[in-house]
Amino acid sequence: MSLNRYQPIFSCLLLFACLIIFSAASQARDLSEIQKEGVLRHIGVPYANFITLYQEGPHMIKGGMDIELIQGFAKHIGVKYQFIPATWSTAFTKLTGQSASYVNGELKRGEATQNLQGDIIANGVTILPWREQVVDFSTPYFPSAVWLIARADSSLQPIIPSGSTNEDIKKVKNKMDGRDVLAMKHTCLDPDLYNLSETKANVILPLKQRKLNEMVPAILNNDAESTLLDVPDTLIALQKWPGQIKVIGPVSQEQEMAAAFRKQSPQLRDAFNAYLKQIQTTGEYQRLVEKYYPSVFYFYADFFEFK
Amino acid sequence: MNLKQIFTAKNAFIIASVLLGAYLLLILTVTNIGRSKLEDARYNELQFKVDHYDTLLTNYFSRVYRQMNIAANDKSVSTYFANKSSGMSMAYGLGASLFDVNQFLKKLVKNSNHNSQLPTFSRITLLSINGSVIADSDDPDTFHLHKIDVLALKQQQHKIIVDGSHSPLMMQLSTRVYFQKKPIALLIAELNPNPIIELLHSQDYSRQGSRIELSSSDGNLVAINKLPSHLIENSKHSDLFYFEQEINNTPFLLKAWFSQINDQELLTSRVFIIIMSILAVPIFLGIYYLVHVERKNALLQSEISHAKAQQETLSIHNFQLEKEISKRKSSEKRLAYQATHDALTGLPNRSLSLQRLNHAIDTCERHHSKVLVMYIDLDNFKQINDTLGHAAGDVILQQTSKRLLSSVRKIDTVARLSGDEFMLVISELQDQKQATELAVKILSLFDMPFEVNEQAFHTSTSIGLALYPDDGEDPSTLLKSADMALYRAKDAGRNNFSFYESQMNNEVTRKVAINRRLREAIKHNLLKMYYQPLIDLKTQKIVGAEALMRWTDEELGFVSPEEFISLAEKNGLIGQLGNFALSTAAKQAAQWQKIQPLQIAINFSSVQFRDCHALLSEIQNVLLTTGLPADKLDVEVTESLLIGEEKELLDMFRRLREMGVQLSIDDFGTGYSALSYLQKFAFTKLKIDRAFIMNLGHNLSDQTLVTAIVAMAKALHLRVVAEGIEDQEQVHFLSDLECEYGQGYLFNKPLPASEFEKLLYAHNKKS
Repeated sequence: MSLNRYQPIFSCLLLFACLIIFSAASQARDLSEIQKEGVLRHIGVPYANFITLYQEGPHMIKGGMDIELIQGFAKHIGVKYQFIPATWSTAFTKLTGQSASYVNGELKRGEATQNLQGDIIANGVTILPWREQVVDFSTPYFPSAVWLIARADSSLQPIIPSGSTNEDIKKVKNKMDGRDVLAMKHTCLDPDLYNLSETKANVILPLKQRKLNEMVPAILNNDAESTLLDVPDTLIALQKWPGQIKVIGPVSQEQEMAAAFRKQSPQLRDAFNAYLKQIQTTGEYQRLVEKYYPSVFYFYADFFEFK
Repeated sequence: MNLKQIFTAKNAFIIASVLLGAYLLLILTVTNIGRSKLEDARYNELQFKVDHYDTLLTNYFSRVYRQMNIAANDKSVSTYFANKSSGMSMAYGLGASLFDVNQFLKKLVKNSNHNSQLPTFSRITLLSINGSVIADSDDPDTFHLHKIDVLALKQQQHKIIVDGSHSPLMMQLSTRVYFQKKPIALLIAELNPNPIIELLHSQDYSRQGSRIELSSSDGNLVAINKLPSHLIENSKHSDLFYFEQEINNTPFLLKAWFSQINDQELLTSRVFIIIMSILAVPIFLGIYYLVHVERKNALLQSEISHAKAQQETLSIHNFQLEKEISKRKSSEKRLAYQATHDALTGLPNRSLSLQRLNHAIDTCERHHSKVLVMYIDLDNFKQINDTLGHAAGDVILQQTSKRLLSSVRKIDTVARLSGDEFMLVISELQDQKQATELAVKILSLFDMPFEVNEQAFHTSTSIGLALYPDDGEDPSTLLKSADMALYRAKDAGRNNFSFYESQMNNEVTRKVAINRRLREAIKHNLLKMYYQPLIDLKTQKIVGAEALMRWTDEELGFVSPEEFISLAEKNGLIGQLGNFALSTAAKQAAQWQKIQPLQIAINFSSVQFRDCHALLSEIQNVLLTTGLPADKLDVEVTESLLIGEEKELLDMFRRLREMGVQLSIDDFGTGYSALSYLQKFAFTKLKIDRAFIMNLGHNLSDQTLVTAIVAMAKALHLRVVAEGIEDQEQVHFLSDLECEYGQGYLFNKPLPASEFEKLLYAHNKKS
């Protein structure tokens, strides 16, 4: 009788155990499972020329360097390609099934476990220490940094390069005192990443979710005097609004961008690294970069010399 | 003809030579004028060409200026200067802008080909005002300022700097770059000379020698060079065309040299005129030679043409002669045919048929067979001819010939001898039986009626047959024998045939003799008229007499009137006999009228009535000359006369009756006893033939017939004469019938005139 009394509780525990087991099985989706299923799901946040999305009638037209890169990879491993649109705040959740955010210099993981929606994040994701705790990164394939950009009519004057990045960062941060600086949480422009609070700058965070390519229009709209901006976006902005903005100087050290994988997908990451090396050796990758970021070679000529 | 005479071969040569000479002169003149005109035109054409080159080059440089202006205002260039002016460092941002400018310059050079495979620019450099290189499509380290005076260039929007120290010539185009409306830099574009050369070449499509160059104080660009250099050096003394023209907005002078016309167009040059002049000489010589030969040939030609004309005349004569000969031959042939053939039926005529008969005799002599000669005569053909006309008669003859031809073999001969007489010659006859069969067959041919004018007409034929060698040994004898046999057949009643018999020959001989003697008798008036009294049966008195002709010949003795009159009817002597009888009897009767009124009856042959007018005149004449009263003349005719010839005869009879002449119908009952003519003709008497009277005493049918005749005559108001009364019984019978008159041996036989006169006297005394 006593056994019958605990029977419902036992049944619930058994069901939960099963869910855990099946969940673990689904979390372990790696190259072999992907190939078995026949589809590679690419999670992407529209950003710079890495991923561009725009609506044309009922269709969402996607493009960009990382779209082409992952499509090439999917073809390489013999599966179909599927694009999973995301935002900077949902991208990691869709990959790992668990939310992750960087708040006040600390990583915070979400409690709720969600279904995995994608297998790879590639949209010019900067390799940051907190992100490395959440995901595994591929071999870096694009250089970056974060610069301070101001309106052309701003009294902020570009620094004169000293030859030392650290010195230059100091010069820039010194200029930020009391200035309005636009930044964005959860991204590479997160003010916490660069200790902007120390600069006494008036950091302005957008009230609503913005895309990174909306930062320059914001300062042109007098939302702020200046903004943090990564190099790829800066290069585009300089072409897009010639004479309307100016680069003051660096806020960060040089950074690198790479594709992010679940930590449970080492085979998939290895396969991607192998594919990347292959196209870098054949020159196919350089042609891809030249197509989307022709002027990047001026700054990072060494980065793109693969042997 | 005149035109032909004008255009003789000789004249044609002379005219042709004059025309050719004039033609050559004209060519030379026209060519000379043409040449000078062509030179003018050529100069104008070249001037136009040089103008065109000038326009092309001006347009080319204008386009280059435009290209460079666009480049100086390019976004990448302005972005660079904007970023630079904002104080951006190369390390942070400006480097990217500079990268873009470099990329732009490279692309500009690469894509500068305009309608050409060749790029317009070799290199483009962005130069700062201080002369340092900002960006370059090439390696900046290889750029040298050389002749470039940056400060001077800053004053001009465009300037072309020419450097002749390079080969080929170096041309650099400087363009000012503005930032914020101030010149901030220079774009130095090195011009590729090749597209300029290509542009000028593409317009040079002639094979003519020329040289085109862009000349400046600092050096020349030779675009086309198809002339030897020594000609250019001595151009003032050579025959070259030279042009010089400034190219707008450039330091260049367009210089052009072109060769003269005579070097390029041989046929329009002086050489052509010389060649034409030289060519004229052999042509004139040729014409002279031809005229010379023509003159020599002229005589020969005229002789040939004369001979030809003669030949033509002869051939025409020959042709006419041949035509005449053939015409004569055919005419002779036709004559020969006509001579031997009957025109109407196409059958052989008498002479040819006799030849054929001769030939048949020869053949049969060899084969010991017989030859049959058939002499065929159509019965009553004369009547057909007279009643239906000669055309109808001809048709019957033609049809007869066809029928005869169809009934015999091809080897046999059917001939027309004359009129309605045909002859058949049947060779190789077996026997008389075969001849008989053939004769029957021929007779049967006429059973079918003849078709004349859509009317059927019956006729018959009589055939005389004679056989070789039985009835004669030569053609004429055989023909004669057949003729005799034919007479026999005719005499036997026609529509019959008869073989020749030897006695026939005697009959013919007698007929020939009668014929001959009768002529003599007429000539010597040896014929006598006898008169038999005509008795009124009631009074037994002589009321008239019938005149009868009698002939007793010295050789032949008494010849019966039937024999010699029928012969006279055939041989044409009947007219003379008739006239003799009429005149003699009328004269006699006229004399006897003194004794007593007496009617004299005279017989007329039907042959005499063939010419009614003549007979009537004769009767009138006799009555007039003899003084016999017309009512005392009784004209006696037989029934056979009354068939046919109705109209004329009727008129004559009417005329006689008007004169008062009596008309009697003789031998009534023996001929064609058609009673209608008794009404038609105005007869006064009817004489019953003796044949009916002869047996009147005991032959009932004769009695019945005579009774009927008398009754009929009474009804027709005719008086009746009974002939040949020989006994009293006949007289009684006739008297009972009230027959008016009688004649016969019971009363008197025919008496000579003297005796009859005595009888008259005696008779009148008695009464």
